[in-house]
Amino acid sequence: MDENELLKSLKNDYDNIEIPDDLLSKVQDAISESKSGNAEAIIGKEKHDMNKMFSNNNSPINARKSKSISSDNADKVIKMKKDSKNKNDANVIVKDKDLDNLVTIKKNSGRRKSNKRYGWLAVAAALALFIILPNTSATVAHAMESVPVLGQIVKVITIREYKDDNGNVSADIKTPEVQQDSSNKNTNTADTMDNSQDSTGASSNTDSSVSNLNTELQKYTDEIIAQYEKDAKIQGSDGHENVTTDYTVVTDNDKLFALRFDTTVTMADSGQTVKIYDVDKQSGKILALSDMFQNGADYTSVLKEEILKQMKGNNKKDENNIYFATDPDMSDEINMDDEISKANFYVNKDGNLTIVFDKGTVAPMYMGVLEFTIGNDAIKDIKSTEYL
Amino acid sequence: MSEVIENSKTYGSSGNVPRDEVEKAILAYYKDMYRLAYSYVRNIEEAEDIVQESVYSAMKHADSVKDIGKIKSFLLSVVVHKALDVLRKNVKVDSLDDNPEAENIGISDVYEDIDLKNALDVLSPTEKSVIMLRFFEDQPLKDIAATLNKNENTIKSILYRSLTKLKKVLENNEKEGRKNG
Repeated sequence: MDENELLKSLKNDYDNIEIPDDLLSKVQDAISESKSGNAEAIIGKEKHDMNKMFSNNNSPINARKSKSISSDNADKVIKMKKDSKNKNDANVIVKDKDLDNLVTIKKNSGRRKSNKRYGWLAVAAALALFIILPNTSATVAHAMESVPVLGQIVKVITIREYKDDNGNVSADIKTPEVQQDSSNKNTNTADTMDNSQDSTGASSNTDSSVSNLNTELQKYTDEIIAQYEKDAKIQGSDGHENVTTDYTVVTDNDKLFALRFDTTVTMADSGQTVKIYDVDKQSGKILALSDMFQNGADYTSVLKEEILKQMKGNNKKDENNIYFATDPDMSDEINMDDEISKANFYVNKDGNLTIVFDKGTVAPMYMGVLEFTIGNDAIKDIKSTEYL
Repeated sequence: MSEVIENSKTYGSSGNVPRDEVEKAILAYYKDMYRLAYSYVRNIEEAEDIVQESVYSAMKHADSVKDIGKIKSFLLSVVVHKALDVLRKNVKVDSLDDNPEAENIGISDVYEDIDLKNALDVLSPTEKSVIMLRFFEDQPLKDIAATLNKNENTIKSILYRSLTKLKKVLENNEKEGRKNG
């Protein structure tokens, strides 16, 4: 027999477990007792058990032990020890004072090459475009004036680093802030450039896109910190948890900017969460996967097909590559449409859409965070020409 | 023998809506609660104790039920917790059992002549919980995650490795069958 038949037979045994005759009266007794409100001792213990049971572990934090990421372009950090009676308070590290350097925190894995140079080149090209076009057409000049641009040169700095260390319970959570470089204000095309003083409308639009993005980034890391503090409190001194959040710029071309967070949590139940913010540099809008495709396109099916194809290919290459969708036992348990809608994405340096799945979502934990790069050919009929 | 007592209270009359619903649900599902408890401890008295404690606990904490549609899942989860507690007290449970990464632990320990009726015994308490909730009580993965206070992806991993272990049990069993003619 196969395991499905085994399970059916076991279920049959389960359904046939005999119910004792006195069970109902025992149940009714328990109900009555609960209503009479005695036995304080039981209630006390119940509260503790219930707290443990109902503490919310279903957070975005779901992780594995991480490689610790060191920032080479050292942010100057000022350690401020908070004055506090509670020994569990965090040592809050505040503010990078060195604002003149372009700071991009690189991951040790070396998978992603530095976007620093690439970013500058692309920006220089974009700048050239801005300089030429406004003079060739009045309409274009006007349009440029009212279209906000998320800064020609985008800088990302660590604005806050939350550190907590209580031995086995600790955290290191970095919050980035995106900044526009204002040093280009004095170019020849000052009157039509968005960050000039004249086109005040446009400049405030840019500022508000950026500050909107920064608010989102801060909210995201705030959530992680809050969840960590909650978990730390519940675990107390028996706790064992480490939360690390760091970020990388994964897309930085003339159209798009994408900032990726990697959060790793080590505790009894671990995982790794990725969160990527994709931003349109022109509008400052934070993008969704649907924005990478034409309106009304059924991109989910197309992506699913392509991803399944790659999974099967990987299965063939190495039988240790397991994915739930291609595993006969698990394929019914998983909803790929759902997972795709929840997945993160970015556009890689080759200009290809890359879908990122958190650990354990579409494959067993040991497979790690999974990335699938979608060739533009596979989506040529439905992709947005704006970004891909 | 009438086994279900209809709760005729209407909403609002006792001012305690969730509790009435929980009570109704207990009377509807106490047998499932018992079967689940029994599957862990294989002992009638212990299983009854677990059910009683779970009923008491569920009634006392009725206000933690957020969604009326989740009442059964709530009741089952109380049972699972009580049962796992009892097992922990009886036998020291290795925390490795709850480690989703310990995918391959135990497969080589699967005995060749295990009685298929006890096939689930090759699983850790947590793994067994996932299998029972999924296949005996038809709980969706999301609810199982809430019940076991784990992330849904962890549940997927646990389910995957449990099924792998059970497959191994069957393989070994078949080999034995062939050996014995």
